[in-house]
Amino acid sequence: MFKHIFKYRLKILLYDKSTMFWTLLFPILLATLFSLAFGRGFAQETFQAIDTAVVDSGDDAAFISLVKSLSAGEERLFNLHLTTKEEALALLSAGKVQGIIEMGEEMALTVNQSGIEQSILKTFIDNYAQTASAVNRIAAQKPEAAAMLPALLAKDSTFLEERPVSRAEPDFTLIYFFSLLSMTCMFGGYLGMAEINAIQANLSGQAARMNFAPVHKLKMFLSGISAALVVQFTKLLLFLAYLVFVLSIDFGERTGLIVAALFLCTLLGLSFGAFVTSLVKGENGLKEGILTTVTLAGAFLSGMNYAGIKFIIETAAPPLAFINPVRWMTDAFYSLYYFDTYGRFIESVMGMAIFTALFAGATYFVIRRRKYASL
Amino acid sequence: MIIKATNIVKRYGELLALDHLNLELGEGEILGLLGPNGSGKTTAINCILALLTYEKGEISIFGKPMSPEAYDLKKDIGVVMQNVAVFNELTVLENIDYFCGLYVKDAQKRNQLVQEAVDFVGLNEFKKFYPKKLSGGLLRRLNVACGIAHKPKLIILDEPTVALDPQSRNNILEGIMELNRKGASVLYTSHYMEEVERICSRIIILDKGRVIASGTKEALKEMITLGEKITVEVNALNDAQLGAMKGLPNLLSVSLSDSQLVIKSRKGKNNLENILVLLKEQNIGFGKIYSELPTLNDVFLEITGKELRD
Repeated sequence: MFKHIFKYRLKILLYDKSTMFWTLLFPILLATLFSLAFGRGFAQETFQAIDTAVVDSGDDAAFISLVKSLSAGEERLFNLHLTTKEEALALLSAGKVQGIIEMGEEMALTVNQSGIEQSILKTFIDNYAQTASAVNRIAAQKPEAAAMLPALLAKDSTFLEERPVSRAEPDFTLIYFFSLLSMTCMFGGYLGMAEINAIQANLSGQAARMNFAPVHKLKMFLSGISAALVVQFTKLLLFLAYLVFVLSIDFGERTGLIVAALFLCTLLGLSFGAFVTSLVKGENGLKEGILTTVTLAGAFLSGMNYAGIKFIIETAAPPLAFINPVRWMTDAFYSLYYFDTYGRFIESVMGMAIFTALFAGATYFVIRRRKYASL
Repeated sequence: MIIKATNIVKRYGELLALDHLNLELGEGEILGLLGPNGSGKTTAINCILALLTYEKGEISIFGKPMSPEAYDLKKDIGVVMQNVAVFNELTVLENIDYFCGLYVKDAQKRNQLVQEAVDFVGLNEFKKFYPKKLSGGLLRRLNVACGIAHKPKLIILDEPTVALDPQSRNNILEGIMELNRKGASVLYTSHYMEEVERICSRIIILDKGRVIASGTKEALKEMITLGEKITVEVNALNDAQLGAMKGLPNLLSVSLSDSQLVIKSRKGKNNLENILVLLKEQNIGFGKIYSELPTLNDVFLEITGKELRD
């Protein structure tokens, strides 16, 4: 009986175009857009040297020497054009340089558009002007210290000690992808909803027909939810494969644990959908609305639209972060990526397990009822 | 006794949906549950099938108490619901196989039963179709096949012909009679009195959750005073002529509307002849004249004071 129901539920879920869109195609589309928006393309982007024109007035040999040194080598900051003002303007209007640096009493930067390269140029000349001014002031007021300046400038003193907790580089853009993956797990709630609709006689005609049959309710539920688990977990593995192999998102090296976390996330998503469907009275539209709202709001608060919001919520409203299932999922993935230890991951797994147990328990409490006051 | 429901009381809040309903279905019978929309037919079925709770009463099927866990009883019951309840993601054949498989584990036996059900409802050429591609009539046939494929001993059909064309309706009614001939006992609900009259061996008339009459169609018609309704097309009728009509023997009522003279009489041997004689005596010109025996609608009308389809 289990096999019979499982087989047909599997087909029904696989042929459900609406669920297929929300739980597979929509996340793939969104992930692709994220990838393009973050400029990841299909591989990590490398820094490109900025085409810069410097108008040499002959006043500051040190600056010329500095920009020349920054324009040499494979990891150079600038592609330097030392030229006259007229030529520099021609290069700028032709789009061959991103900015013109003019030396003089006050350094001037000329650009014809705003962008990341122009911001770097502005930061560079501001830093240079600030440092040059400090050096000049020290040399004028305390000439005896001038001899120590080159050594002081070379030494980048800091009073904070950086103690890395991870071998991995922090990458906040990953939070977007982790929360997107978590959101997709939560969209599995639609499958949980379908399974409850298929066995609760007061929710659909098909379920009423199931209830006329000589099959135990729990057996119906377990067969159906197992099919939903297989379908949703497979879709999530496909989505994960798309993220890793097509979009080149680095999820770290703990593949086995990521897949295990994904399995638990799938269970959490399904149980949440089943919980909402069994508990909320009303039309399917209302239940879908609740599922979608909680999922999207949870994903937003976990950093899907703006990575910083995750930390704002965790700092300013910890209870809200605590009850957000998407946050537990996102945390599990990020902790696997970033932390070398397992403490944070285990905490996230425990959180998800508790939520899954609560949702599943409450669902069973409602669906164990076999007679209805009304249909 | 196949079904025995005793004193069932069911409320939806303040509304009394079933008011001490008593119902018995004997082996080999087709019992019709006739009543207008909202009379409690579907509620009665859902209570019998242990899907709905009820405040009072007892229900047994095949002589055993019915409950949601009575799997040994459920395996011999087939249900065809009012609304088509199939999966759009499964083909005709898969839908029948899915629901049949809830009753029959053996795959080989099931394949045979499914094919027989397909043949029975005439969906052979549509068995690979998805439900969305089927017409309303074919969908209803699929709905029937899903309910009866496992060859149950008891078949409960809840208005299976609603919104169907006459041909599809006829197919389904013929099918039900065929199932009955093969040994199934049938509980059939409808608000179409012609259907109930045609296929049911016994009829229960429900109104507002109460049984207002029950028996064979002949017995039900015997219960009422109306024996014959004679309609005469007349050109015109004056008060004196109409007054003379009121002197007819066995007369219950006489009315004239749109040149249609309707005379309702108690049972009597010469009602039509008496009218013809009177028409001649009064020199009343007439066109068509026809006589009808009472219908179940007349039974319902006389008992409740309203039409069955009100």
